[in-house]
Amino acid sequence: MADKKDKKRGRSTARIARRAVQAIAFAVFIFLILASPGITEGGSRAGWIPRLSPLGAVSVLLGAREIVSAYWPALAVVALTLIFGRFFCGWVCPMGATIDVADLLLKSRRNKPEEGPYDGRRLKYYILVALLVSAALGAHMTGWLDPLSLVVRSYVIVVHAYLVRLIVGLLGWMSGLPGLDGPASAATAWLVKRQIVPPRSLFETHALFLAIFLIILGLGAVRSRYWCRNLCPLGAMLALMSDWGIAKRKVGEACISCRKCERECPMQCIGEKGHATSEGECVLCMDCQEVCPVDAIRFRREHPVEQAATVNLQRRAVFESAAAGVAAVPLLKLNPVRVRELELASAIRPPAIADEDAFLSRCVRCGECMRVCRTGGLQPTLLESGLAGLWTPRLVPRIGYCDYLCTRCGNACPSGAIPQVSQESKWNISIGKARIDPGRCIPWVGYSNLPNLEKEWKDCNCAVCEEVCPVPTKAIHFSTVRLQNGNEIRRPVVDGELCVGCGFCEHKCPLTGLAGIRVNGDRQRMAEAREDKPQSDEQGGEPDKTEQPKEEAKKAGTEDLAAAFPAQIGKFKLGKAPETYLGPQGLWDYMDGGGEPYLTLRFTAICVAKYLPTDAAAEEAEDNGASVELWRFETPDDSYGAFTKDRAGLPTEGDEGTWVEEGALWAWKGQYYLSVNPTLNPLTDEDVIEIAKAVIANLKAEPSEVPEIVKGLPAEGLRKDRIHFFRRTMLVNSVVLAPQQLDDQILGLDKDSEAVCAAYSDPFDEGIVTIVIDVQYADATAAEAAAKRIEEAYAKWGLEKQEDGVMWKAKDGYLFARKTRGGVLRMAHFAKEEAGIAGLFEQ
Amino acid sequence: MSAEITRRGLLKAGMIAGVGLYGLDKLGSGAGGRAPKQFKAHSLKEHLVIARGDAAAPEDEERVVTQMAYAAIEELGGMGALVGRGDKVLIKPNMSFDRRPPFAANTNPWLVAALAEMCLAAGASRVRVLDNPFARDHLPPYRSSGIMQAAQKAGAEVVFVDPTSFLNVEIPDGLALKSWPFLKEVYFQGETDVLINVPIAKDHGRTRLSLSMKNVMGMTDGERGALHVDIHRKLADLNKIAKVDLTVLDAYRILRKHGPTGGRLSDVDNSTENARRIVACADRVSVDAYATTLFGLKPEDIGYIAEAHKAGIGRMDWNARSVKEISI
Repeated sequence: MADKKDKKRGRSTARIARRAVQAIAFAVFIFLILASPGITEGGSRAGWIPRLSPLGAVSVLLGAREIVSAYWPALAVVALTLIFGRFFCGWVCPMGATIDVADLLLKSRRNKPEEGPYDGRRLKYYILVALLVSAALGAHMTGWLDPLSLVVRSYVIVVHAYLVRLIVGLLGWMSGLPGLDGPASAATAWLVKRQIVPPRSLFETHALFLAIFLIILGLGAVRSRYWCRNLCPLGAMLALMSDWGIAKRKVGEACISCRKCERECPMQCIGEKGHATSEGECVLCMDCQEVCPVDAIRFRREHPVEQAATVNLQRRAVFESAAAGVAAVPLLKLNPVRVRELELASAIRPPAIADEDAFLSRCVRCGECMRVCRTGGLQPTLLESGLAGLWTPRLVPRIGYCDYLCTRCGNACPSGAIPQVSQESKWNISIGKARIDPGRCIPWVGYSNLPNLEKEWKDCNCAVCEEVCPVPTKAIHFSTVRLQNGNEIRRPVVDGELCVGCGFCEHKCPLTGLAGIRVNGDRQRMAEAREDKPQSDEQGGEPDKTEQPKEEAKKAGTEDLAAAFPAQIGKFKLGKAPETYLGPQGLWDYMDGGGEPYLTLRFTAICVAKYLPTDAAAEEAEDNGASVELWRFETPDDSYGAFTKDRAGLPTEGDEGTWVEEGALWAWKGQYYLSVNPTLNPLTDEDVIEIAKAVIANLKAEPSEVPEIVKGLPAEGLRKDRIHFFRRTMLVNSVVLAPQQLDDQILGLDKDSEAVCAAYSDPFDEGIVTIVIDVQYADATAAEAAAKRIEEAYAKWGLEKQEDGVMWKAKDGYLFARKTRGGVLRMAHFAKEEAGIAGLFEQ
Repeated sequence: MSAEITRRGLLKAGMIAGVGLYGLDKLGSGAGGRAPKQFKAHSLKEHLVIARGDAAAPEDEERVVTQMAYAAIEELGGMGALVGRGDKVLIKPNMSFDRRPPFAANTNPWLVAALAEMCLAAGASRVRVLDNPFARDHLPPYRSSGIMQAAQKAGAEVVFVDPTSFLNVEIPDGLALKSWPFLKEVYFQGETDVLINVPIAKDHGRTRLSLSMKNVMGMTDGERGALHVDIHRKLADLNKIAKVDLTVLDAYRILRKHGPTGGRLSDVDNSTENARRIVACADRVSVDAYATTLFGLKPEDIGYIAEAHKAGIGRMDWNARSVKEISI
């Protein structure tokens, strides 16, 4: 009797041990979900739970053809399974533990099981075959059904998110109650500080995940552990490995065939009146041992053959599921977004993902990255990256941006789909590119309403995007237009080279709804390491002196600029050494966004010097000198463009390339463009001319002809002071080209375009000025296409097409016209008389 | 008692629960009749104090900046002239950016620590230091700025704010704003007796310069991006509500370009001509007006300074008041 009691205790110990291990494993799982932001923060790897999955490991191995060393825990699971059998499902798996609890709650609703081993369990083997076959062919679906991905995903997106929201909501409400506000606020602060409260409220598609999770748990109302026995592909995989285990259910002689064990078994793998056990289906829960009234059940290495009941896989069905796996591949790869091979993909991926296909073959859809994302911006995709990308992470900037210095997602990723990066290299990684939407951005919309704005000034500057841009030199600059009444409108412009696509700008854009600046995923650019990007100096205290020589080396080839400044010109002497700024970066350093229009031309360098009068005291000299800018562009056409942007006043005698007004001068010679302005107090025209002449004399450049497109302008009525050569409309956007914004897209301009915008005096009315725009296209077809777009714009602006098909009439009587000849498109805007327009198109 | 649920019983229970919850909710929300903070009565001098100093080596910075802070406050009459025994003090530095001190994006940590120390020495019962960074996660900026560590060492509490810390406040006669969410600590008399604003002087894309009155934005919440349109008048409105008793501007380093975030040491000005100083005055407009000169600008170049002057928040003619310069 005593002996029997001891044995009973022994059996209970086994069951208690299982429950304890399962509980500990589950607690570790919950702890890892709560603590993963902190773990990844320090640079340590997280994602331990998905890394336990041999199924995930094999899929990544097959799909990416790479052994991911981070999957070593899965190898341990395989080893232990070979030793003990399919213990993982009953002892460790957090999905199994969750299902056990749910099954307990659903017990009363469950139908009595029919007797004998249940046979629907073949399905999971077929699922496994299909998943592995398609993984090998490059379509990763394992993550959808791998229970470890599934359980992490469900807890992150559903359980954790809902519970925390509930708790924080309650605490927030309590913090408003007298007497409770102290403890409630302290509790909230603690939860926030421990990062248990996620930065987002809920995930975008949380309800879908809730539904899936509830369905899987709810299947417990049909059969206990329904998922584990019928559907789980990892269970199938472990079952196949469990043949050699040392713990197999063995029924002793004492068995009285009472079938208690048969009814108790959650996996329903016992048959033959309690004698037979389905191979691989037993998860070693040991409940049968516990209920056996005669203590006939043991778990032992040897296993009588007659007690084995096999799962009969049908060969035909195995082939069919393999075929299904093959067939799924092309179906999954059907992605309308990618069919067009767009460089800009719509989904913004986490940092350092260079190749979308490689990413998809590695991503196990576990949601670990979404849990740790510092801003909560990482969200599960639905179909944004095609069916193949279902539930992969994408950044939704309106919800959260990619923190400039954060590297957590790479540390959290179990499979290396998101590479681990260091903080230093994170700065160099671009995940996309921001673009301004001129139709929504406040200053841009304000600008397109300039005429009204000028009458009744309302400050419509905004610049939130520029403020938050974390790039050290700002990837957002301003294109500034100064109105005649002195007010400024500063429109943000994105420098695509510097933009890292973090989405901070889009996140903070104050517009409600769709932002006025939006980021597109740009994987091509992610692949390129951009070395020229300035690095922040995390170690140094003060400016790094070692950078100087590099700068000097870069400036080689621009000696012509500094050398053009003589030490003495008449009564002026050169101030401190001229400073040279090279390339776009240099120009931004010199004049910030003011340089933006000049960068639409092929800018190379600018050199800046001051000439100070020798006859004045040092302090006065500073205010009475001349500030000289010497620009160099790649071609004379480009420097002509810069010159025509700035010049004012009148040409000097016999030289269209030099203009002077009120002690300021603009000159164009070859690829150089020179401007001389007073530092503060007015200079005389003679002074600036003298300075300009002395500088120009040192330039090795021949005066060149105006660009071809400018030569084509009709001479009659042409206002020589208002000819502008441009490649992008930005350069001329202070000139009113059209009643509404006429942008690069409508005109079809790119960085190599040649265009001119000129003003004509109306032959019938001196006060009326007609704007003529000529654009050169590659051929007549391109010109016709542009003409079509112009007509669409005309129609949108409410102009009415006239009978001749060329002329359009506005409500206020102004005439517009457009015509192509060969590759040139000519537009005439704001004409008063038909005859005037006809003259412009005669040539 | 019967376990049966009757219609009458259900209605009754529902009504009691509803009224109870509503009442509790009412109790917990709103100002509840609490008085808004007023300016602290003080005996600070009228001066605009400029304390200059320069650390020969990086490790001297803590000592030099602390000395500068002490000297500046001493010149104003000492912290005792403002902070009384048992007062609750709120210090609002700029610690909004995940950048270390040399990048001049956040207020100098030693200045904040020195002010906290002085307040505690003057008898303050509680010194709180906080900001409302625009980054989603407030810990990295708090930590990188060095202010969290320095302030805690000095004995101050470092407070993390969350959306429940704010309360929508009406702005009577607002130029461009009718109401805006303010930090309860800033708005209520019972929460704070003395409010000290400790900004850093730096470039700012929208307003040209971010100075003390721009730093007040960090005492507010809501969709702050929306403040950017017509920002100058809106900043004047916010400054009418925020009763700042003392402004101490950090210009030990100033950020000349790519502000307010910065990130390049070459954009930071450490020269003794333009930086290496601390500016203190009870009048925030004068502090900001003086600070424009460090960037080669005039007070009227910055819209919100002119608007604040017009609104009577302070005086922008800083050189009309007595200016005390001291050197460490």
